[in-house]
Amino acid sequence: MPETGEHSPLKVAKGIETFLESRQVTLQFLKAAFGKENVEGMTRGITPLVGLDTPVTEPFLSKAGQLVEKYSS
Amino acid sequence: MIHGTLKHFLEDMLDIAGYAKKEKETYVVSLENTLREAVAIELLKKFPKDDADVFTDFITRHKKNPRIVQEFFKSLSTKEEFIQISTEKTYSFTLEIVESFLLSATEQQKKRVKHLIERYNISRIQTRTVRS
Repeated sequence: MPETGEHSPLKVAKGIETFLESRQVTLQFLKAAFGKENVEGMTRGITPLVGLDTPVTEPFLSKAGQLVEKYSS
Repeated sequence: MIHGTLKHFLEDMLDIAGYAKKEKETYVVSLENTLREAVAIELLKKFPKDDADVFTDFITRHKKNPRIVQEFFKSLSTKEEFIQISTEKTYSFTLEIVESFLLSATEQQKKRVKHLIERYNISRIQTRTVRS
């Protein structure tokens, strides 16, 4: 297991891969790979990607309308 | 029925573009994947360049498995930050698609997109009225 400051970027990538595929990773590794500040974000609950199920909003429609005007002759 | 999501909006736009049902489904799935990558790039901007390059390589290798990439990126930020980045990118990305379509659309198609926007605006007003 890499110590803080002794990992190469390639090892970090490999570590992420292991984390995602096996889910067997320790907090120490995460801290070594990403820094203490980012570990909190990593270990939080998974939130679904907002994606295209996002509601159509008024600002969106307004900007889309402006685009139509821009490209209409 | 009131259509309320960007996905519905894009599907309606693809109708105007003349896509068949199967083509539309394929296109939307492809867009979702591209959107994930776009969100990922936003998240990567938080990291030093060297790290970002490694992460980009990781995404490239796993791009055929969106679940892995998605979970990886979800782990890179707080819930609130992720939602904010994802939401902002989703809207701007969808507008980019609308613009790309308009660039090659006929005048008739542009008029139909304009009507589509009006229809969604009416739907929103009606929804708001019913709720209030």
